Amino acid sequence: MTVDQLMMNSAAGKILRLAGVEEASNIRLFEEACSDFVHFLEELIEVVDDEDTPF
Amino acid sequence: MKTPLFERPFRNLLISKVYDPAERWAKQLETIRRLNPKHNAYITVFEKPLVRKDYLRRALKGMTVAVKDVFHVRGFPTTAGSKLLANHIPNDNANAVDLLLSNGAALNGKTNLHEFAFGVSNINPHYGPCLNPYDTSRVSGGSSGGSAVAVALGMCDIGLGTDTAGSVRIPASFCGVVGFKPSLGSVSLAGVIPLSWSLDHFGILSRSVWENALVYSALVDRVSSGFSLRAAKLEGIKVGVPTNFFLDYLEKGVRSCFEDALKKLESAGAEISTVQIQDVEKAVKCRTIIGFAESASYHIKLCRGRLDLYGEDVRQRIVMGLGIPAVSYLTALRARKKLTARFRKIFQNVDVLATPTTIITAHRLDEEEVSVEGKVFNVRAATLRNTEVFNLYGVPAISLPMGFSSAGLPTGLQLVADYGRDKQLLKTAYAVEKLFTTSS
Repeated sequence: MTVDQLMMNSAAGKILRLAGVEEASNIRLFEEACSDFVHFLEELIEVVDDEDTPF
Repeated sequence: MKTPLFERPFRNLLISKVYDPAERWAKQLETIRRLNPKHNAYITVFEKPLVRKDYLRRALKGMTVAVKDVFHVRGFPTTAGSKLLANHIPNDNANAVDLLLSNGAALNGKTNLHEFAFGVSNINPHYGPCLNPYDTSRVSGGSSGGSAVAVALGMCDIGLGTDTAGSVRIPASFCGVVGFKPSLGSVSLAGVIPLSWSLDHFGILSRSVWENALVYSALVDRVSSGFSLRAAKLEGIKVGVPTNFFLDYLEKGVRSCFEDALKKLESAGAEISTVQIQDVEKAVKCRTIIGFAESASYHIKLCRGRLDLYGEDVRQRIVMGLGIPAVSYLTALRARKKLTARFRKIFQNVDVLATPTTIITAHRLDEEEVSVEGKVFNVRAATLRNTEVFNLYGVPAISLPMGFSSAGLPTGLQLVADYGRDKQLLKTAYAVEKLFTTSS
């Protein structure tokens, strides 16, 4: 997948273009990381309560 | 048992009548010239140390300090171990550098690191791999590996470092020296190239706890003279040993040294108890999100159109960080507060936690995976496993040499205290170091 193709699907491509990421292997890595970090988020949601603030 | 590489502690020399700083600097420079081409500990060597004229009247009395090449030193490049910043020459000193100079330190150079401090092996594609002082087929650990090697090989007395996931304690453990990460924010990182603003800790590498505490005290207390460090009483001290995560997988030599260390502590009167640290896996993920997102934010401007100038591993980590949405980052910050509060409750029952600093000894340069008690880890995950969560919690932690594996490689004991208990931790570490030295 190229950055242009990725942009068809999501705004993530714009971030990659901003950072100058063009290689297909890095784009794949980015997509995998997005997926992994969603799993991380799922686990962290369990930790926080409504009253918890980030700062 | 294999003996440490270095000679008598600087403390003894400092109070002796034969102390001649200029002669010592020359000797250390000669050591750098002889060993640096092989070990790649320094990126920039100062042929003449940077020192104040009145250094002998100051607390550090010409003690030599090598600074990790993320600290600004006016007029010299701060490369951050990168090609991108090879010609980046700052106009000002980092805050810690200024404080050390005003306390009488003599700076003798800037040390090699994992590129942008974003890794723990110190295999640097631009300035050469930093090689372990005990076995040059192995890594020094990182990212403050150059400082650890310089200290271990007697090229300097003190190495400055930064620690975002273990970058001071890991190379200390792999190279057989002391590495101390004070509480988050207790020493300013102004004038230091960041990896992750909210996780970066200042750190000190040394050959002994006394030297480490002297430098820490110079930075936080601004002592002019009369520094003293009294060892804590080990009798009755409450030492917590985690039952989960930290001891689950240990290389044979690390486990044996750790068990031996606990026996020595117990024989000195320490009260060893087991503790359960909740949610460690979640804390690891929380730290990863925060660290990678903050790093990506720092690098997004620097890397534009120049991503090919990064080493492959660091480039990949930056790309991964770009994939973290704001909601994940902010949720991780919220979770951090809660996880930290939960963790700190442990110190209602114990004075310090004890773990091996790393679950493995220094790995070979060409190793990508290691098998530890039947489980296969990539070397980065194995190296970081026991240190990284303490950056999330922001608590002080120190790594002390705790003996050698049968292959002759150093192992480290990590002691962790509650936030703000930095001096008590140093006093405890001093007592433990004395215990290990006398009973080995």
